[in-house]
Amino acid sequence: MDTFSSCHPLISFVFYLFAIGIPVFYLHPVFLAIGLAAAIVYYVYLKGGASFGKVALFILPAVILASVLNPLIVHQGETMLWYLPNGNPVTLEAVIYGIGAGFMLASVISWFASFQEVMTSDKFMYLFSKSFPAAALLLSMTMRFVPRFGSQIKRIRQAQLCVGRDVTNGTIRQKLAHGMTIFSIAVTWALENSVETADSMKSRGYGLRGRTNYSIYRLDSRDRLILAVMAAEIVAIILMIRSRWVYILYYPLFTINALDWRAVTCFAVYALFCLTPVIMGVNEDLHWKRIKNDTVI
Amino acid sequence: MTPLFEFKDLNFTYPGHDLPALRNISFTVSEGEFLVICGKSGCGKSTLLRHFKTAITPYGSRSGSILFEGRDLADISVREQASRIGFVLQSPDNQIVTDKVWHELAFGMENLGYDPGVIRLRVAEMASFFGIQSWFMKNVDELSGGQKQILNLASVMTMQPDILLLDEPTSQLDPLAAGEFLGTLRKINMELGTTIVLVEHRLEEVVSYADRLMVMDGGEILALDSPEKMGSLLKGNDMFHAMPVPMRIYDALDGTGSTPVTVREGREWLERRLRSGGADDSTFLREALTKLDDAAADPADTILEAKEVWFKYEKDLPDVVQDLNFKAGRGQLTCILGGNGTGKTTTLSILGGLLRPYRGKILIDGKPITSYGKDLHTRIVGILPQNPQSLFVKDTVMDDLLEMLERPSLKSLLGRTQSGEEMRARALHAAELMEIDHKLDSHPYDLSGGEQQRAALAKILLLDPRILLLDEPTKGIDGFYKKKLADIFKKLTAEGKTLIMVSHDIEFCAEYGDVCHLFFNGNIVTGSGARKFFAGNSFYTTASNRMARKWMPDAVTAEDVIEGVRTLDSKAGDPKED
Repeated sequence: MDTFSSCHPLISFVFYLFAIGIPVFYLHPVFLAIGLAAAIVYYVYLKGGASFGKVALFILPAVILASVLNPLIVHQGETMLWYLPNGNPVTLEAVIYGIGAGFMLASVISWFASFQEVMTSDKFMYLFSKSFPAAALLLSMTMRFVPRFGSQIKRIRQAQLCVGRDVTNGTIRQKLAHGMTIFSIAVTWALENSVETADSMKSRGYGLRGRTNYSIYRLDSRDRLILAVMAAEIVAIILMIRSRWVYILYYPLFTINALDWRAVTCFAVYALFCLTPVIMGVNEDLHWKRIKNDTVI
Repeated sequence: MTPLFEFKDLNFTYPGHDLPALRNISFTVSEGEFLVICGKSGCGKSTLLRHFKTAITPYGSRSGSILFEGRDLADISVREQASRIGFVLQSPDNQIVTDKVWHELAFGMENLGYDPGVIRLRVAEMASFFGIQSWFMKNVDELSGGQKQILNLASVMTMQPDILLLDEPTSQLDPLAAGEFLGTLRKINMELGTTIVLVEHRLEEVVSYADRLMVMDGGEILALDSPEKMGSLLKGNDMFHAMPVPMRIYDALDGTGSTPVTVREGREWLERRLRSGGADDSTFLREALTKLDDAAADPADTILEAKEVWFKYEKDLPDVVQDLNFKAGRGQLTCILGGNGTGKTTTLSILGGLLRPYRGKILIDGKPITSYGKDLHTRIVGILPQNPQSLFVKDTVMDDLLEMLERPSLKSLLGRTQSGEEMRARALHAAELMEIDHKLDSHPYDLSGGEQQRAALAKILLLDPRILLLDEPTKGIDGFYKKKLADIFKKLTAEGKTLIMVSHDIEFCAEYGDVCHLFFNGNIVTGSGARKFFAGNSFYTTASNRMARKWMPDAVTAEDVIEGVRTLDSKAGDPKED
C-alpha cells in the first residue's frame, strides 16, 4: 500500500472527484494532457510499467474511436476540411473536439485504473455509511453474500459432475433446464442459511435503537493538512477558470487562451494537484532513505 | 448466592408436534461454570440451548420458568440479553454478517450503539486475545473454517458476555481446528471467568475441560454431574458409547475409584489395574512392531490403481499430488488419512476422474480411466462430495432419488426406458437400504447431517457404481449415526462394492476400515492393514491405542483393550482390585 492509499478515504474520494471532474467538465487540451500524464505516472508508480500495458489496451481504442466518430457525426464548426459522400462537411473544430474527447476518455480510464487499487470497497462503504447507514450495512452483507452464492453454485455443479450430470451435457433445452435446477436449489440453500444469519444478527442485538457506525479510519493531522492543501488548489483552479485566465471554445470557431504567465500558473496548480499521490509517495520513499542513512547501526 | 441461570420445570412442544421436545427440565448454571450438554441427535439439546436467550427461542407452547440472576428471562430487555448472553451457532459461515473481519468484530457493538472510541478499544482487545491481528483486515471469505469460527466467537466476546452458549461449534471443523477452538474456549473460561454452556457431540477432548456434563435423552435430562461420576450414572445406557474411550474401558472392566477422563489418566488407571491383577512385565505383550502388513496395501484383486500420478492445478503452481502410488482391493473399505490441506480431496477427485493428472495413470479394472468416457460416473465410479447437501436438487427426498433415474444416460445404459413404477420401486429400495425411507417426503435440507449423508449415498447408489469414493463421510455426524453409517458400509462391501474414503476420523477408520493409508505431502507415505497401521503409529492413532500401547501394542479399539486386559487377567489368575 502506498502513502496515498493509506490516507483517509475522504481524501482519495475528493482527489479522484476533481482530478477526473475538472477535465471532464472543462475539456481543455492542456488539462487533459496533464491529467492523463499524471494518471499514468501514478498508475505506473503503483503497479509498475508492465501492468500499464493492459490499461493501454483500453486507452488506445477509446482515443481513436472518439476522434474518428466525432467529426463523422458532428458537423458544426466554421473551418470545413472536406465533404463526406453523403454531403455533410467534416470540420476542423469537430476533429479537434473528437481528439479532445478521446483524450478525456483516456484520462478517465487511467484514473479509474488506480482508483480501483486505492478506493477499496470498505473505503467506499465508509464514505456512505455516514449518510446512509442502512444501505451501507446492506452493501456489506451483499459483498459477503455474492461470492458465497457463487461458490455454492460451483459446489453444486461439481457435485452434479460427480454423478455424471453437467450443464455442458445434453441438448440446449436439457442444459437450460439443468442450469435452472441448479439455480433454484442454490436459492433454496441461500434462504435456508439466511435463517441462521438472521438468528446471529438478532442474537447480537441487531434492530435496537441507536445503532452506531464503527470504522477503522481516522482523519489525522497529516490528512487534514493534505485536505486543506487540496481544497486550496481546487478553489484556486476554479477561480482562475472563472476569471478566464484559461478558456477554450470549440464551436463555431476553435479559440484558446494564449500561453501567458496566468495560464501557466493555472496549469501548474492543476499539475501539482494531479501529482499529489506521486509527490506523497516519492517524498515518503526519500524520507525512508534518510532515516536509514541516519541510523548508524 | 443466586445462580446465573435457573430452569424450573421447563416443558416445551414445537407447534404441530404431539411429543414435547423438552420435558421437566430443572437445573441451574452457576457463574464461571463450564457445562457440556450432550446426547443423540434430536434429543432436544439444541432446543434447550436456544431457551437461554429469548431472541432465538423457538416458537411453541411452553411451561415452567427460566430465571437469569433470579429475574425472569422474559423481563430482561433485548439490549441487556444481546450483550450479556452470547451465542455461537454451528455453521462457521452462516453467522458471519459482514464482509470484513474488523467490521464483523464491531457488528454487535454497533447494534448496541457503543461509542466508536469504545468499539475501537474492544475490537483491538479481542483481536489481540484471539490472535486475529494477522488477518484483521482480510475479507471473511479468505478465512479457513477454523478462523471463521474463532471470528464468530471473538465477535460475540467483544460485547463482554457473562455467559457464552455454543451449539456444536466444532462439528464443521477438522480435528486440528476443533482442538484449537475448544482450547480457546477453555482459555476464555479460565482467564476471563466467562460461564460456558457447550452443546457438543465430540466429547473426547471437551470432557476433561467440563465442570459438569449433562446427558439428555428424549427431551429429558438423563444425568447431570461431573464427568468422573458419569460412569456410575450412565451404567448400561447406550449414551455411554459417546463418552471418551478411557471412561468406556473403565466401565467395561468394572473399574473402581474415580473415572479416568483423559488418555493420561486412563493410562495410569490401566497400569494400576493390570498390576493389581497380578500381571507383570513378563506377561505384557511387548512385541515391538517392526513390520507393516504390506500384503493389505497390495491386494491380490485390485480394482483401482494409481501409478506414479502427478497433479497440479496450474502450470506455475506447485504440485498438489506427487508420485502417488495406490491400490484399492475389490470389496474393501480403504481409508486415506491425513492432515488438512495435504491434497486428500484433490486425490479423491483424481481417482474419480474429475481432475486429470499431468503425469501417471489411473487404472480401473486394468483399463485406463479415460477409456470409460461418459459412462465413468454411471455404474463405474460414484463420488460422495464432502458436503452432501450440494447433491440435492429437488424439493423432496423421493423426487431427488427419482431425478437420478430419469437421466438420459442411464436410459441408454439400460437400453430401455424404465416405467414409473419400476423407478419408484428402485428409489424405494435404495432408501430402505440407507434407512431413510421414513423421510422420503421431507425436504432434503430439513434432514439432519447424518440423514443427509445417507440420502446422498442413496442417490449415488441408484447409479449402481462399482467403486464409491467418499470425502469425509463422518464429518459433523454424531457417534450413533457413525455406527449406522459403518453398518451401511459393511452391507455395501459385502455386496462387492469397493469403498474408498478420505477422512480425519482416526477412530472410525481404525474400527471399520480394512486398509488404511497415510497421506502426507502429496502422496501416500505408507499403507497397511488397518490394525497394523494404527498399532505402529504413536501420534496418528486411536485413543485406545495411546492408552494401552505400553502393554498391548496391538490393541487399537476399546474392545481390543478390554479383551486384552481380560486375557492378561486370566493368565495371571483372579484379579484383585486395588
